[in-house]
Amino acid sequence: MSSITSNVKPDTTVTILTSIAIIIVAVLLQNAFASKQVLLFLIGAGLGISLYHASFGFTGGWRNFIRERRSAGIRAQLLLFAICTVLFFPILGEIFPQLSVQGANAPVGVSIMIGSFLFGIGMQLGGGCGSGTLFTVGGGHVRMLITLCFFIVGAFIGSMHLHWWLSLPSIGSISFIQLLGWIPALLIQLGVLAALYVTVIKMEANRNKEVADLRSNESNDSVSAKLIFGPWPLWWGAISLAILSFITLLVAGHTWSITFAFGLWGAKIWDALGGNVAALPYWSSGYPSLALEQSVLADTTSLMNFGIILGAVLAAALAGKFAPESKIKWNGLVSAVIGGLLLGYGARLAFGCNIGALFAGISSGSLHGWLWLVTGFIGNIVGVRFRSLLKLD
Amino acid sequence: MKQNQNRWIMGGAIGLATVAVALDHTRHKLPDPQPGDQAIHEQYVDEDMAPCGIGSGNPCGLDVGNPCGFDTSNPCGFDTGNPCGFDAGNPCGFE
Repeated sequence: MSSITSNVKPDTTVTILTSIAIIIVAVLLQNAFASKQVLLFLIGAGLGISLYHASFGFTGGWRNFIRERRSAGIRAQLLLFAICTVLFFPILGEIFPQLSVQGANAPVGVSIMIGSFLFGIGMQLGGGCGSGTLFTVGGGHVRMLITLCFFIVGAFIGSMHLHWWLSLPSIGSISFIQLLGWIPALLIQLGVLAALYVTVIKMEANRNKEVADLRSNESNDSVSAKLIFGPWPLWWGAISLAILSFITLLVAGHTWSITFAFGLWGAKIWDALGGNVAALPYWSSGYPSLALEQSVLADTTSLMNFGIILGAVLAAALAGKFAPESKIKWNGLVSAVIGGLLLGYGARLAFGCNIGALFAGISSGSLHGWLWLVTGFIGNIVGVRFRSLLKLD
Repeated sequence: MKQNQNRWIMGGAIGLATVAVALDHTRHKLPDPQPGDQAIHEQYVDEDMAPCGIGSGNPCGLDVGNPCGFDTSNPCGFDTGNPCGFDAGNPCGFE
């Protein structure tokens, strides 16, 4: 067996500190709450490692396709959706009636169209999506820290306005599993995903005369070395994210989501600064009100986000790439601020980000996930134009 | 910015976030502990019967006994006023 450290020099200090931090948080959660919270935190860490090592971002993948018709990123996402369709649909179709889980279903209307469109622009300006922002922050990218801060501000502002947006026209939620039954819905969805897969391959071949392989990887290290130190080929990322998302569904009882926590963190900060958050309609009833009253560690979405960030820190340290050198110019700063605000505001209006609404929505057979895909992609096209105007590339 | 500078910025940000989480955690109440065997039994029963997920903290499990299944008419749907539903951002399905 070849050496597992052949091409990588891990950042030992950060690796040790992060490992200790993960263990301490897990022990504290076990003491304060229950094993479920520990498990969700560790799943989050696993997601962070997978996202970082596979560089599994939606933003770059979509930009590469829009600009150059390079489709590897999009194909990896389609593979992820397909695996989760196969895993989620039977469970959501209640083949095990005793297993009560909740898919991601949301009303299809103006709110989600506008929200995902704004989110799409924000992806390109901010330089990341929901998951992408978290794992790049974990990787130590300072510019993404700015994006995250304004993502939180935007999500909180969005929660202030959400009731108005929800008063706009909507046709309600549409679940293909309920509408067609889980088996026909699964077969149709797999067919649509396969058709999209073939289409993007053809578009890439037409433009570039060659098609990138999802299995390709710049590293020649052994499998075990790549597993620990990265980088992973995209298909490894798709499979690990699918498995961890499925475990999340089983453990948490709901699909993986990210951006609810950002709004919650913003609300808690506003509350701590003396703002009257409880007077806001969104935060005065239902789960948001409960989450506001309780410790942030009681919120499963927050817990998983903390896990993702720490997991990405660990992965970056193992890869020897934590906190890379960077230059933040004025245009990068402006775009991080505007992008972060659009990401947060858009995610709130769209019932989630690329994970909570797009990925979880499609994996749950909900029409709102597909609508998010279309309008979010259009937003990305506009966002790519804005990147050119701001000379971000 | 040089790598070392970035490391300090990231370390500072993570440290600040840790303090914020610790402050938040200490100023909010935790779910009431249930001492003794009865509590363990009740917890077991709750987890078994919890309609949506495994245990405490699950927003769909607030009302034990409510069906948090897939049906849109259930309390995890989006009826205004129900504890699990309507409000977007609810981890119980709307995000």
